[in-house]
Amino acid sequence: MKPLSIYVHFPFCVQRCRYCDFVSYPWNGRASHLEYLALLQEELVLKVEAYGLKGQKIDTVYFGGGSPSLLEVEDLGRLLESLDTFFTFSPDVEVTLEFKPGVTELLKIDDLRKVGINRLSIGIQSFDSRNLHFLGRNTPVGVMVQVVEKVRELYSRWNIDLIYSLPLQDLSVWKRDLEKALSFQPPHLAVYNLTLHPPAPLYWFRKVHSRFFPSPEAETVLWEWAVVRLQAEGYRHYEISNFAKPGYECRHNLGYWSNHEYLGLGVSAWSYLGEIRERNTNFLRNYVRRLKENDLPVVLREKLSPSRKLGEAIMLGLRKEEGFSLEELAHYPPKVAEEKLRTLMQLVREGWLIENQGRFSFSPRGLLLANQVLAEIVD
Amino acid sequence: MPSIGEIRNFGIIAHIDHGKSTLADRILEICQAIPKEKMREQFLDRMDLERERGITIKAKAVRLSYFSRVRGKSFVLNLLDTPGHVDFSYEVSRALASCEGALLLVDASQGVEAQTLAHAQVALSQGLVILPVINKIDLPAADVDRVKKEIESILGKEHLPISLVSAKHGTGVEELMERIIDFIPPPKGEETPYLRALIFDSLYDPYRGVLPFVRVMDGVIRRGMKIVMFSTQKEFEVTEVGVFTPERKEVGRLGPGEVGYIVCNIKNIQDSRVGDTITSADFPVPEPIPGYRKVKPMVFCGFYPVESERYEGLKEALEKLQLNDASLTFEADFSEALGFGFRCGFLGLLHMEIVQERIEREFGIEVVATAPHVVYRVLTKKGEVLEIKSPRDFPSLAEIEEAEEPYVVAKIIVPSSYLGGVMELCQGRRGISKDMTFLDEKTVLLTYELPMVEILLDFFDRLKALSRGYASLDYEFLGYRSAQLVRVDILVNRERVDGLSFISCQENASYRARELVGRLKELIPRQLFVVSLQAAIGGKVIAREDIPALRKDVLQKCYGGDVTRKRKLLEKQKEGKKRMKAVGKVRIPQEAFLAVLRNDK
Repeated sequence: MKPLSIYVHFPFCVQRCRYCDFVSYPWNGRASHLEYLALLQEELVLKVEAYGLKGQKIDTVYFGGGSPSLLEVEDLGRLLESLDTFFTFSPDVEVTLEFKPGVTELLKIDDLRKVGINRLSIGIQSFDSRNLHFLGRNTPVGVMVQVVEKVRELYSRWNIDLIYSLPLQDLSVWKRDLEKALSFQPPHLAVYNLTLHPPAPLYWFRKVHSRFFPSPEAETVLWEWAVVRLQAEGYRHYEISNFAKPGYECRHNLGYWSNHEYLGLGVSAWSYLGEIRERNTNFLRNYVRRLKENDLPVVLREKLSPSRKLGEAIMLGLRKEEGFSLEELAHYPPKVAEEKLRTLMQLVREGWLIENQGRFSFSPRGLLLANQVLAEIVD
Repeated sequence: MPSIGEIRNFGIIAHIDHGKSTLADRILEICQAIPKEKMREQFLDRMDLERERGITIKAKAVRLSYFSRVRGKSFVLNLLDTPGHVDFSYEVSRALASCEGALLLVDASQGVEAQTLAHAQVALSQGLVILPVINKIDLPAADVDRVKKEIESILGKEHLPISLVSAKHGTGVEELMERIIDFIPPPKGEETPYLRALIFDSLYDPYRGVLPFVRVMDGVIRRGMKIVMFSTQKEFEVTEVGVFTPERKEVGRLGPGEVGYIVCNIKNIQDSRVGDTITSADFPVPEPIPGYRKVKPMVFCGFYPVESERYEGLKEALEKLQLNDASLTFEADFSEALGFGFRCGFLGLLHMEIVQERIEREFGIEVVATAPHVVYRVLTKKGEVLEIKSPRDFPSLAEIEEAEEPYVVAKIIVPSSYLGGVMELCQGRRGISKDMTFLDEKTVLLTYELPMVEILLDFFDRLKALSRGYASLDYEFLGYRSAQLVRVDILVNRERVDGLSFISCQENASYRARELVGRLKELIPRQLFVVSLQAAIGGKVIAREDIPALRKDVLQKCYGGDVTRKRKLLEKQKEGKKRMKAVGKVRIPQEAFLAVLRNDK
């Protein structure tokens, strides 16, 4: 059996960031945590039973949110212990926690290590207070620096998230942000283009004030500069938005892009098991009710046709630097494989993709227009 | 049966909202034509749509019996209701030709408007007696003296006494009735076997077919007789003769000077043409009544169903409307942007709006209407005359010997304070000033000759805006005049796109081309390569814009929870691309085609 990944969603935040469209509810202190953790436990029992996952080997665990760093360390520890009783953690299991920098979180950094968290992904987004204010994040820059320094001291695997394409952000503003991040020498950096979907409040803000945001041309400049700068600094541009020093790639996320299976737990979490993608309810109340009635909280389920599945595999695979391997095609019906291969070859001829020893990856031009290119590949 | 001396045939000339229908209601009341409980406001406006818009679309005739206390005897009044709008001026002229007199009804607060003036001139030229009436004298804003002066400047100093009425309250209406008897002459006509009757309107009845409304000039129409339509020489047998009182009533015969309807098994409205002469099959007259012309649609536009599956329904609706409306034409058409629909011809803009609204209201079919356009005429070098209804059919410059476009003569009445703006508007629309008359110190009558296409787009709206709603407009088709016409083609990456071409006069071509190319630049999404947009006449480029290549399409993150959403987004993107029309490698969305067809800037 191939190793499995686990994603746990923790849908609580002290304050919603203005760019965020993830499922999140206001945080009411520890009591509500404990109730939620108990429900996660029940979901775990139900899903292990339903999908026959008992004893499954686990390669990576990822706590995302929301703000999972709001959890008390001991509660998180108990959840990990419980996972350990149902599954078999591989010796080098990667356990990542999304970490929102703050004063209380600062005190947890050391203890988290002790309960088994071995990778922290720090949601910095920007070191510029104007940008932070705009994004609706009010942790002082000084506190963030303290957090980063402490994490750096105690962890070997950690990440900084940065967002670009913010209002009034020209190259010099962006350079300051990225250089500041580099000054801590993080082993991993995720660099995101600000992407807004409803219900994020900034989605509507940008509709009205689009002239203050960088144009697509200006965005390209910010982006290209970051790629060059990070590569010069020894980072591998191993996925569209992710950079890592060799050996420090996020294995959990690589699993997604390699179309590996994963089990999702918690409100709004997706699972991908046996060619089926399914999602839990997005509503906390619904989640509670379903589990109290001993029902799976799954509300959406899609069995992928071979063609869709291959489309997804290519769409995800192309995101990686190593690209999509032709060997994958062997797992699909010949007709489906042939059709997609023809599309891939066409895109190579047009210069959007590069083919190298049986691997397809984006050309530099194609990478900038990834969405346009990928639209040709899906069904 | 009345004697000819006791008949009075008259119409009412008035502008929209000046109270024509209300006055007609009062007259009906006085003649006790309708029992009180059945009296609805504005009985003569039959269709709901007319009621709502406050206008009368089709002329109708009512026979009334009026007892004159002064003369101590009864008279037969035939009231012909005439449409108030420019589009129907031919129908008005035919209705007036069936009368000996007309009431010129003017709102005491609004004064004379362009349409009233135009119709009054038609009435004068046909030798009708005009009885001026000032209505709404009870309104606080009424300015009777000013309106009197305006009427004088139209009718001259020697006009008949002006009646002052308030149709709403009935004030002065009885006196007006007596004046009708006194001043409007009875019809002339002889009871000969040689029948001459004028068709001034017709009505479609699902059971009886088309009912022509007629005014008998000479002779008698009887049930059972054979008649001939002069213009088509088709023969019909009269099965019913009647009048509207306003209830339908059979009378068996209509003698000289009388007005009524006949039933004679006409299936097609084309066989009952307004203005045509009816004569007897046994004793035909050699000459028709003058003034007949075949109504030809002047304004064209495309009607497309919003939901393409309603195409058949739209066709049926148009067919049904056509039964009652000889001036409506349509033929099947296809557009890149809108799919299957119809190219329809109308008398004018209001006619077009009314038809569209009736389709939507009475048949429940939502319609997209393209911008109205005219028919151009082109004489080719080979000597053929082409009628150009679509840019598609416009020949290349080398083949054209001469091109012509329709002109109208427009009469605009405007308060003198807005004169400058209105003149500027007319000049800007290639107008040729013909005349300027002061109706009084504050009101000016402007006469311009204008290319018809120039008044179709937003002329009326602009005119109203410029004059704060005070200016009024009337226009009449003048004829075709030679013009420097060109077809402007839009080239997308050097390839001509059929649905984006338009016809324009040479002097406006560059301006319109620049404007369109600018709008297309906004409407065509960026592609993976640079797209050049050019507007060209023949081989000569007159406007150009480039759509820069799409350089970056957001590099979003994509984790476990995003896969499905992301894939669906991409699928949608792909689907959207498929729906666009591919010209070479360029994808052009529907909205771009609509930009040429519609005119909502």
